[in-house]
Amino acid sequence: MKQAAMVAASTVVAERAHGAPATTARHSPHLRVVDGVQWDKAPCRFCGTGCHVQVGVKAGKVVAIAGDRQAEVNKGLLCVKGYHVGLALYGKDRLTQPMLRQGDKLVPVSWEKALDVIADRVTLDPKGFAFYGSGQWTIPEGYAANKFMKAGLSNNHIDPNARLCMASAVTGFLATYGVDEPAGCYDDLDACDVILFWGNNPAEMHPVLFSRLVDRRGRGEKVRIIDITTRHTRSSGFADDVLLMKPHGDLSIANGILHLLIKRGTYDKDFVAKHCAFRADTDPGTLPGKAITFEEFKQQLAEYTPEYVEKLSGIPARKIEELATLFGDPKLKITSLWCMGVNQHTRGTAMNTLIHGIHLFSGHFGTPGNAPTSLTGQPSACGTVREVGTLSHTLPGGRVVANEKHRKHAEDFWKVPPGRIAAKPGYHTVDLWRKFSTPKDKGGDIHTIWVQVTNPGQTLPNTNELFYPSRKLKDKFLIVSDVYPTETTKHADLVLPSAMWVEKNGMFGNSERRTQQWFKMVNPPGEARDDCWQIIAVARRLFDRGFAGMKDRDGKFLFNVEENGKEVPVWDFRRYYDTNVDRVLFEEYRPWTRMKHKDLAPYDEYVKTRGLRWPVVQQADKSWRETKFRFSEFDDPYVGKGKKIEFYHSPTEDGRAQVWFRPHAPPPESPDQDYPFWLCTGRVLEHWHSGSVTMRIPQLRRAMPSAYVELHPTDARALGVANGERIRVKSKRGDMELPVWIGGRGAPPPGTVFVPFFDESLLINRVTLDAHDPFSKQPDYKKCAVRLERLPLAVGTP
Amino acid sequence: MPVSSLVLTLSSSATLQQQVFERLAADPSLTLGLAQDVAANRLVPVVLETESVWEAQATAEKIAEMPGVDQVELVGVDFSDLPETGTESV
Repeated sequence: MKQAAMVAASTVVAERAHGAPATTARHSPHLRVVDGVQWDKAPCRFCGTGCHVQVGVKAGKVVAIAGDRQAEVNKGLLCVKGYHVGLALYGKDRLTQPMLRQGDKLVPVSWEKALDVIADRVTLDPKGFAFYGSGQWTIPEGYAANKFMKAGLSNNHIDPNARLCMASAVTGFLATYGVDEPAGCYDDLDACDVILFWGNNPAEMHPVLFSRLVDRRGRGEKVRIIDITTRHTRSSGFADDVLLMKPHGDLSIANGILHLLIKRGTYDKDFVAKHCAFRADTDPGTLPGKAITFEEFKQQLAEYTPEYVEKLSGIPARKIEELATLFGDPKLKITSLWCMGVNQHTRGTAMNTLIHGIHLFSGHFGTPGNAPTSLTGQPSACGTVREVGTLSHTLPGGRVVANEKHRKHAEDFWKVPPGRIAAKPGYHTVDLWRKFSTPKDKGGDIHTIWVQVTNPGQTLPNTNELFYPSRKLKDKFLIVSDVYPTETTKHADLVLPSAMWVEKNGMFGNSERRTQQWFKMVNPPGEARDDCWQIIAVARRLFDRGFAGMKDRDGKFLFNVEENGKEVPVWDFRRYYDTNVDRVLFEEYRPWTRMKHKDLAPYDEYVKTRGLRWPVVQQADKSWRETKFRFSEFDDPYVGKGKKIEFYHSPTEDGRAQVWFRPHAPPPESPDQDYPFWLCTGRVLEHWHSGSVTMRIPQLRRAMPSAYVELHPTDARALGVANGERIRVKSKRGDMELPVWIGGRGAPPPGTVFVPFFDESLLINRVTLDAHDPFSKQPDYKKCAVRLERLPLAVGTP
Repeated sequence: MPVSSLVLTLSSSATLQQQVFERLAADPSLTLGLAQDVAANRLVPVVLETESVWEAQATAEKIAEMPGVDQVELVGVDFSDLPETGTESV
C-alpha cells in the first residue's frame, strides 16, 4: 500500500519533470500499470463539478484514488469525498441479490424471477407503470430508460430526481435563451474579478470549484466574493461581503439592481439594443410569458428602490446600491453562481431569469469572466436529464413530447411506428408520487414505480404525504434498483442489486456542458448488475412475450445490438460485455443532439479525453473541437460571422435573449404564531445527498456521523437548550427529533434553523413542504414554517 | 491506517531545501521519494502514514508552514487495507 502511495506521488513528479507518461493500451488508452496497480481515468461518482480521478486497481479491487492532473476541471485536486470515492464500492452491506417482498420480509429470488415480476407489472397496465430515475444515471442508462418508457410503453411517466435539484435552472435558461444550459464554463472562475453566490455554498457543495477561486487569492490575484445567503456558511467565511437576506428576498434584490441600472443609466445600452428583448408574466402564467417594451420594464421596476428592497429582503439599501455599482462597471468581469437556494424555490424559474437578466442587461455576458452559471448537484443532471431528456415532458436533444414535429423525430430516430410517442406529458415528480400514494379509485392511476439510482424515501419533500401512504396500498408496487439498503429499499416490494461507478462502463455530463466517459474496471459484487442491463433485460422479457411496444417498425427488438451483422444477445448478462453497449447507445443518441446545437463527438473521442464541452464540432483537419463560451463568436462555431453575440435559439426567433420582469411574491408558507421558525434544509461537505454511499465510507461517516439542527444562540437560550440536546422540529406535515448544534459549521440568523438531509435515521423530509414552482415543478426545500419543542432530558442526564 | 501521497514543491534556495529535507527525514510518519527539479523548483514525492485522516491533515498543514516549502499537494489517498464497513459498524 505504501509502495502504491509512493508510486502515485512519484508519478506526478515524473509527469511534471518529463511530460505526460507513456500509456499502454488495453481497452483504455489511459491505462497505466505501475508496480502491479492498474491506473485509469474516471469522473468522480459524486457531485456535478465533474472532477476526474485516477483509479488504482489491484487484484480486481479498487485500492487507491488520486486526483487526475490532466483533468481541466480539477487539475489534480479532489475534495474529501473524491479522495474516498473508491471506498464507496466496499461497504459490507452491498446489495448482492434480487429480493422480493413476501409478507414483512424481502426474500432472495433469482434474476429470472425478478425480470418476470417486472414484466408482469408492466403488462398489468402499461399506462400505470412509471420510472423514477436520476441525475446519477449515466447517459446511456438514462437514454435506455427514456426509450423503454416513451418508445416502448408509449408512456411518459418517467421523471428523475433532478426535478428536485435543477428543474428551475432549465426553465430559467429556456425562458431566457430558448435553449438549456449555461453559456459560460468553469474558465470564468479563473477570469472573473467579482463572483456572486446566489443561494449557494460551493465551499461545501462544489469544493473543488471553490478552491479554484480561493487559490487565485493565494496567487495574489484579487477576486471579490459576494455571498447572498439566508445563513452564514463556510463559503461566507471566505466572502468579502455576506448579504444575509430574508428567505424569499432574492427576487427583490435582483429587481433592485435592475432598477438602479436603469435609474443611473449604467446598463449596457449597446448590448441591450442589439441582443435583448423584454418580457413579463402572463396571467395565468406561461413559460414564454408576454413581450413588453423597455418603458414597461422600467415602469414595473420603479417601485424596487433600495429602501423598498431593504424592507423586502433585509439587505441594507446601501448594499443594493453597491451591487448595482458593480454591475454598472463595464470594466469589471462578473460571474454569478447559483444552485439549490435559487432552484429549490417556488419562484425558482423567476429568480433564474432575473440573474440572467442582470448579466444581460449590464452586458456582463459572453466574455471570459462574465457569465451567469448555474451549478448542478448530481454528476449527470445535465448530461442524462437535461440533454437526454428524461423528464416527463421531454425527449432527447431538447425536444418535447407535446410538439408533433419532435414526436415525429423521436419515432424516426427510434424506428418505431407513427403515433408511438404519446403527446401528453407524464407526471412530474411530485405528482407522480402523489398519484402513487393515492388509491386507484380516488384517481391514483400509477400502480408501479421502478426507481433507479436514487432514494426518494429520504429525498422527496413531505414524505408523509408523497411516499409512505403508497406503502399501505396493496395494489401499489415499488421496484428499487440500488447498491445499498436505503429508506426506499426498506419499503420496496422488489429490490434489484446494481453495479456502481467503475463496476460498469459509463458517461456523465457535468455542469459546464462537459461530456465524460469511463470504462468498467472491477466486477460488481455477487449478482449486482448494471442498471442499463436491467432495463434492456426487462425490455427483452416483454419482447419475448410478444409485447408490441418492444418491437421497432421492422419487428426487431427495440434495443437490438448488432456486430458484424449478427445480433448480440445483450439481454443475457453473461453476454452483456461482449460488446460495448454504452458505445452503441451513445452513438444512437448522438444525432439527436444537433437540433439544439449541442453536438457531441463520437464515443471514441471521449475515451481519449477528460471530457469535452459541447457543441463539439469537427474541424477541417478531422479533429474535434469543444466550445467553452457559447453564443460568443470568438469561440462558438454556430454564431454568425460578425455578430459577436448571437442567441441562435432565441425564444423570439430574432437572435435576442429575454430580460424578464419578475415581481417579488411571498413564499407559500411563512412563520406564524404556531410555527414561528423558518426551516432550511441542505447538504454538508462530507456527505453526498441522502448519504446512502458516503455514510458507508468510514472517514466521512466519522467526520459527520449524524444530522443535527443548527440553531442561533439567542433562540437556543430562549428555548433553554444546549449543544447536543435533542429538540423536536415540527411542521404542519410532520416532525423529527434532532440534536442541537449551536456555533457549528453554519450559523443561521435568529428565527431560522437548518437541518441537513443526509442522515437516514433522521429524516427531515417528513417535515418539509411540497409546494413547487409553477413552471419547473421543483419543490422548495429551503423554507417552510416549523416550531421547536424542547424534549424532556433523559433520566441520568447531568 | 490512512496512507496519503503528497507532492511538495520546495523553494529554489538550496539552504532552505536542505533544512526541509532534514526536518522531513526526522519525521517517522513520512517517507521521502526521489526528488526532481522542475524549472527553478524541486519537487519531492512523499508518503504520509497516520492513524487518522485528521492527523494526516494536521501534518500536511505543518509541512506547508515550513520555511522553504512553497506548496503541499495531496495527490492520493490509499485505503486498500481498511476493513469493509457498513453503516452499523462505524
